[in-house]
Amino acid sequence: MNEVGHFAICTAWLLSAYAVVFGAIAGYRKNTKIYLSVVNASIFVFIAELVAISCLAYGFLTDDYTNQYIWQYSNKSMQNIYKVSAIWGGMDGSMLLWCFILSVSVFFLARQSKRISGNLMPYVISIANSSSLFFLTITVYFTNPFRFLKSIYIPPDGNGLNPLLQNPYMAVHPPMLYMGFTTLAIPYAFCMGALLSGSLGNEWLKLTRRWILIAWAFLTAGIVMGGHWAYLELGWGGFWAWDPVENSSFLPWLTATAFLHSVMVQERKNMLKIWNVWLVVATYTLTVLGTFLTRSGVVQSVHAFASTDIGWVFLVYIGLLVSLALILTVYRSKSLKSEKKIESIFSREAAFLINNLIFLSICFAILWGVLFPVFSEAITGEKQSIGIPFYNAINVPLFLLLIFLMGVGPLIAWKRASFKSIIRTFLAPCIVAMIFGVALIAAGVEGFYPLLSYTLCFFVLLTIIAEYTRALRIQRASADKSLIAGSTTLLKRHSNRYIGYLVHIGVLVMTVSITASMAHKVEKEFSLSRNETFNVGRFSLTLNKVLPTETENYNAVYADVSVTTTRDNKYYADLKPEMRAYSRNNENTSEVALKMGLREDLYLVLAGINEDGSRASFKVFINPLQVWLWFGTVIVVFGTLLLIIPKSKEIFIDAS
Amino acid sequence: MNRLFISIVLVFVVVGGLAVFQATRQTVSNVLIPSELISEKSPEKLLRVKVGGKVSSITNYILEPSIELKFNVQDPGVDINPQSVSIPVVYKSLKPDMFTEGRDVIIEGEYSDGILKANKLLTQCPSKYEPPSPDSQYKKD
Repeated sequence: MNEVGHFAICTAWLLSAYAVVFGAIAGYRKNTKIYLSVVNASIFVFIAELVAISCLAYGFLTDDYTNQYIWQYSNKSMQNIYKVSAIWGGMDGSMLLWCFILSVSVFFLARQSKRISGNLMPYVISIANSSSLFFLTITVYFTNPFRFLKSIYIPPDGNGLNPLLQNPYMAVHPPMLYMGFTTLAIPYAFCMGALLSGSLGNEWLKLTRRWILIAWAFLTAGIVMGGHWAYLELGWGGFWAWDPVENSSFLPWLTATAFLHSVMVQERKNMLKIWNVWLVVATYTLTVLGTFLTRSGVVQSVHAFASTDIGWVFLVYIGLLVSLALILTVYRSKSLKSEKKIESIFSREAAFLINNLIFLSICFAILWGVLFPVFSEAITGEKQSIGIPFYNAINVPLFLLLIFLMGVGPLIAWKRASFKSIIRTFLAPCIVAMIFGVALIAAGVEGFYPLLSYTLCFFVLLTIIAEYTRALRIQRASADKSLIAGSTTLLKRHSNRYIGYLVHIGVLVMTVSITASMAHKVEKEFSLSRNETFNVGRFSLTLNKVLPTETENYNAVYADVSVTTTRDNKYYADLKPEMRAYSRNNENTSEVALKMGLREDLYLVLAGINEDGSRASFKVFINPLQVWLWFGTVIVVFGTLLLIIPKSKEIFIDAS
Repeated sequence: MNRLFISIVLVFVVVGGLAVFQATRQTVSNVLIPSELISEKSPEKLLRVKVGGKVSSITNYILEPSIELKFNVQDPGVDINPQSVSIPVVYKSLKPDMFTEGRDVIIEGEYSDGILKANKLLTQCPSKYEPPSPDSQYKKD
């Protein structure tokens, strides 16, 4: 199967090279025949890569240890699901997965292209295939997962996947992130295609927006799932540590989010054209840069993949991406001129611009943090780094400012808002939110940032409600009398706007949860003998027993702890935190016991047991409102999916 | 060009730049390996350090009265060797996952009186590890 897989990726490489060259020729000569062959080539790239990745999966499932990669990351005792997920357990396989998912996107692009006329698509397909070509080059020449094991023996068993990676979220979140990352290649292709062909109307923008939304949904889900994995598995009670790998997935998310907002200004006002082009370029470049940083060992990270010497290939590619965009922007600078100006700081245009600048500031600060060690060593010769306190100091105020704009931006008038209209729109929500803030202080909430955060979230919620009720009142007065009929017409007519609000509400839920877990987290260490009790928060934790347990993969000890509520001594949960020793890899891990609740998560880690097993020590975390982070994400992703689903009218417009 | 546009952008660049500069100055830490840590002359540079090293031995892990992990680290990238420079580390928290002798770790904390007091201890994430060549393992068979 190794040979078949290798042959398949080489075929895919040739086909995508063909599509790059002849796509450009088809666009230049406006030749439909060549163009059709390029579309078909793109489809065959997908098929070839499907064959390749199936070969690798088959190798994993049949324990083919003649393949070096499979031997490294799998063993016979692993469950089948983790044998498959071991495909992306290391560098080589994850690059192949990257290529495969990218080819899926290009496949859908090729299918979609048949419905779009004009000179745009040949270029778009050519550029999209150039991304494929780049990542296939990496796979074929540098990280080939189909290499044979350099050994005269065929080993009887493999090394096995690291136990920390044998977790459902670890199996799911990398592909999710890759779907986000690779899909971002398509907007870049559209952008360059539009510049090359000169068809810079609203069509490419509309198509790009949908692709970015798809990528954004995957990226959001992937980032949060990664955080969820860290939370469940790593035992430090948190979900985000500003690690370079996390950061590099967050960077393109920030610029993509900025684009999703500023694109509305271009659609409405024909402004910010160059700005939007460069947001798309930045988004894809940051994706590649993130991959480069985490795969090349340039930046030290706890996640970093083994250092490899492919860094220069990525740098060359990033250089090409940026230069192409630069040359084309200059070349088309005339048609990219704004037709209107920003007239007042009190206008929706200005609000959107400030929103964009905040997203970019956050992006810049994070990039600065990630690259600081590199700069510092290059300039002063001293190795220095900046960590979590830096990111929090910069990003917390910026995010709060964004939340504030989330309330202002959608409601303030275009062009120039009069003083009167600002008072009419915002006075009531402001006053009510301030009362809410005072009530929070009275209720004992402390700290400037937490208070500000809750108050701002409430303010935004009020503005959304106020806007909706006002629109509903007008609707009912003019046409539909009943509440339900009025709401349905309103939601149908302005579906995108209200889905946007839904996404905003999801973000508010996430913000409240993040604020609560940052500001009011409780963290305690304690030791217990049998039948002893420890009180924390509103809970009493009693140790029942400490028991050994065993599976094929590991030996473990777990503590059986029952939890009751302190006030009325009612049963709340049984928690069984565990310490595992994996004999095969000589790894020790601890399994967190977690009771999720709407009010708080109770998170218990077994720290150790004394020699005769009579006493056990624990670390407990109480993370208030933690589950709301996951719920909020579900709302956000669900809302985004609603935006992606084509509405019947739009398809018609797309096709014309 | 649009004057308002440019002034808004300028305000962001200036204020943001100053904030980033200030936050960097206040939170920067020096990245060292154990042998550099010992030979560092200026003590103020050791108040906030990030040390990359290899765990050479775990000396003590006590649970009561409070959890405390004591171990030694030496320079990364070489085999454990009793002759090489090694510094004691105290970490008053849980032993993290994958923490064993011979593993590379990143320690953030303060170095004073010959002891590295860790606030944060990170073991290298599993995806970093490339297993050894099979020949070294199976030649014995």
